[in-house]
Amino acid sequence: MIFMKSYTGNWSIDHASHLGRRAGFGSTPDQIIVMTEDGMDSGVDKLVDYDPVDDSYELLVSSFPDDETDRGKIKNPYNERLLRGSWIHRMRHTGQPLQEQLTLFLHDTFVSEFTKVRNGIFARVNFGNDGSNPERQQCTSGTTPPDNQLRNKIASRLLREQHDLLRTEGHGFYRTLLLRITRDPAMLIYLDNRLNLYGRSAQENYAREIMELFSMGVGNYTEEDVREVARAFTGETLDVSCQRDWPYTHVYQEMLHDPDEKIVFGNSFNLSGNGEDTNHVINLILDNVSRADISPAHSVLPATSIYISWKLINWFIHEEIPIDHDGVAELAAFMYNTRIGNDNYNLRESLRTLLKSEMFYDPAYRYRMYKHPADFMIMAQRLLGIEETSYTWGASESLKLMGMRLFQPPNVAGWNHGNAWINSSNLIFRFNYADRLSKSNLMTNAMVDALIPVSVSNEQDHSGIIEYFRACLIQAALRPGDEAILHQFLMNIENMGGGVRNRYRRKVRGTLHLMMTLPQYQLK
Amino acid sequence: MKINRRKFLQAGLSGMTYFTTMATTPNWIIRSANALDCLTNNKILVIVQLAGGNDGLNTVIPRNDPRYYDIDPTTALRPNLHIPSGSEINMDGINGLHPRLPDLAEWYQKGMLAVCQNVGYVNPNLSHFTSTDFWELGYVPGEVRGKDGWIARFYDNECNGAGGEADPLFMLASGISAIPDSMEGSGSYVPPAIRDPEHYALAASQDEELRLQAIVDLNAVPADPLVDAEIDFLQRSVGVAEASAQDIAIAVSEPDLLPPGSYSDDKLGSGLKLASQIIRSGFNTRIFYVSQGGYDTHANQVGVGDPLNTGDHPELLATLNQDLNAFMTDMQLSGNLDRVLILTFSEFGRRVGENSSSGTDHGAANSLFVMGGQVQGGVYGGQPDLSPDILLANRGNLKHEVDFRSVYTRVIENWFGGNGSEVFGQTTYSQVIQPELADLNFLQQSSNIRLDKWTQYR
Repeated sequence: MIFMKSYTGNWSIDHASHLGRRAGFGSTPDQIIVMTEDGMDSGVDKLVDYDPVDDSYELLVSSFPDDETDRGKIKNPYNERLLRGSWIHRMRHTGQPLQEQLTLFLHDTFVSEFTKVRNGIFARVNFGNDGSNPERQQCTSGTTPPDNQLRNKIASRLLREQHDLLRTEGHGFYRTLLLRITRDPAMLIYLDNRLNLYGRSAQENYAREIMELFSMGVGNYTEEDVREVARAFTGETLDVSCQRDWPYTHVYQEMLHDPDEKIVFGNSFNLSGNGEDTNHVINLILDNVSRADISPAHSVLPATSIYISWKLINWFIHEEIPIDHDGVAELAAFMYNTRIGNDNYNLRESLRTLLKSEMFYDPAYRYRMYKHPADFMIMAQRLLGIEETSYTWGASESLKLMGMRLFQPPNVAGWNHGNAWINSSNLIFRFNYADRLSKSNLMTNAMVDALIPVSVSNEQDHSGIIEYFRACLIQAALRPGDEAILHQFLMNIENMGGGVRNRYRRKVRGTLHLMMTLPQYQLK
Repeated sequence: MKINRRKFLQAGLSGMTYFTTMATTPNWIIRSANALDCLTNNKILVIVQLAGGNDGLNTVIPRNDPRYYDIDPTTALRPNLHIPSGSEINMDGINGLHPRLPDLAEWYQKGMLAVCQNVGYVNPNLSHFTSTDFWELGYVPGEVRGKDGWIARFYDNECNGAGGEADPLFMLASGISAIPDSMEGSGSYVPPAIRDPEHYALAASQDEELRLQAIVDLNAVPADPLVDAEIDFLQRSVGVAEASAQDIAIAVSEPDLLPPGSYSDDKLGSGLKLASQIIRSGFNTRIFYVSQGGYDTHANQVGVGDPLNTGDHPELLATLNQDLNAFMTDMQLSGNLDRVLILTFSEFGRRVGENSSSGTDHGAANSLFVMGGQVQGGVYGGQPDLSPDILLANRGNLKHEVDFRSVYTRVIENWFGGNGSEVFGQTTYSQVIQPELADLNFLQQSSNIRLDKWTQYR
């Protein structure tokens, strides 16, 4: 191994802060000092070895009231906007930031758009209670269509459950994840597999997308494979019989399963009973060797190990690293050949290797990735200690306007990364969110006054103000030209007159706003 | 000559004057002083993406083809999904429009709507994303893939690398918050994406002038694009945001000609409405890109029992009909109809045979619409072939007869008077595109084609 071998170079404050920006939502200057002193292994292990259930966060939310306040809606989100706000709150307050970055990665991989899930509930699935009624549900299908409120509530619950699956199982085995997501109720609605029934012609939607986007990548299967996999997945559906308390439950219906032989990647099989065809296809998908035209190193490895390694490297190291890079093959080999217990494809160990690799710390990639909108928002909130006044409205809508509408990626392939995050609309909303943070209801006067030790001379300490925000937000050195413009801005306020304290606060608020508009703050 | 925004600012107008509400120089003076000297025939192209793969066979119906209407269980293609005979809107005797496209049918009757059938490419790819790449970048399987979009290449070819920041609305994405790949990759031009024009402005809650001026200045600090490519791109994008925001504020104040509700609330409706406002306020925009999503109708394409009015596809077409009609009407009322050309596209058509869930899976060749005052209405490209042997040979999909780059080339050459071979490559052009061009007369030959470009390849 060259690219994925353990990094042995100098470990400095720059390396520690890089790890914080990429594997979490940035680290504070104090945290960076600790990480620098403790070394790479400790820093990475602390991030990677998170608990599947974040007890301290769960405790925090359980203390919230069951009402219509912002905190009440964070605790019990019942529509798409509240779901988004609820997740933003968790990203802001989690003690396990890598868990949230990985959940974002998986959310962007196993896409399920809220709107289609909600419409699916309207159109096709029996509906009963919203899950809050402990009594057996009353199916009303065929009489009154569910109103918007109920559809939103049901879709919110389904997507929360999918989300919890990604959060609590994301560090585990990809094989398990792929099987669970295939039978996840929101996914069964979103990619229509609940309607993939033996009969006229199998419904190809899930069969195609699981291979193209969730596992192997385009080019590793034929159109015939798509049709055969669709046939193998018939009968994996939802229970619409009204026999259960909660109808949005995965069931396998043998009667609706194609009983004939299937041929996938040249393997013929016909395993009756309890979704065995599905299990077999997932195993084939995970083990089928990649197409030969990428590189010799790739052609001996399963396509899925390459594709998922490539996606991880694109998310954590750089979005333009091509799939034929040797680093991708090295991580894929590790992912496929390393067994924890009896199973391979372990994401936690793959991430540990990635975050300790020579490639990850290559200075050529540092500050060369564009922050996604959640990075942009959450880093500022966390590193400056700012508490949003409204997660479920202000923050939720702001993140959407920046181009990251959580629970509603633009299509089944998820968001476009890299410089696709950047365009005139999205930048305007980024910069205006920076302005929002600078206002006194978020960055309070008390916080402003406590920034640097208070004395009259410090209130005119422009270098100190700039340095505070640089160290928190940018972390690297400022470009000299930028520094000069910030000083000029502060001098312009200094020269405007008014009380010293008032000018100081305007300087601090303005510097916060401007620091987040720097090109460097858009990069990580 | 490359004009960039920084040089422009150094030339005399301070950023302060240009960007804040205290501006003393009227915007139109700045605009006309910096208008790009290319694509000067004043024509406008509006590209309409139908994302997800529109079912062309249920959009333009082969109303005389018995195979389309077959309900014999052993041979039927669309026993539940076909548009019942007699409910389609007759076009030319052999084709009919979906009944939810009544306004488009009227434009067809006026001779201002053309249908191009059987459009696609060789060895069709059935992935949404791979196929969208082909259409957006203008290449086909087997060719070396370029990274630049076909519009970006066209722009660079015509405009010689002129920087767009001086004319920030020259081409843009409207109603969506993403720059389409077709417009991406120009060496010098970063188009704006304007999703929410009402809130398309930089704000500062305190010390507004000082802060906004500092944002301008911070993004004008020189960055070497070879060393700091990301910083350079960010700065250019901020430049475009600043420069376009004031123009958009002018455009959205343009009064409506149509009653409220004429455009849908869909991103297609808001995108076309903004395009109309920009055109009617006299901006120099040459290419708009708008998008409507939701065409990936694997399930519930039509509703059970009422296939004409319920289900996803009839609703999508109704929105398309409403928004294209509103835009055409806006253009007609404002005297711009002869300046605009609308071109729809979708990454693929859908499977000819329906699936088990009242839907259709991914397919291949498709029909598209061309609309505008200068269009020669009609149906081009032949009829879709539903014969069993053809379908079998194409895995149940329609076979393409017209390479989509032929359609693009028609637009480039007959609409803009540009040069298609320089965008798509000389080899491709002579081998694939040129022989088919004669059959695609959906545009009259433009009267003000620039002769130097025209004779260059003739």
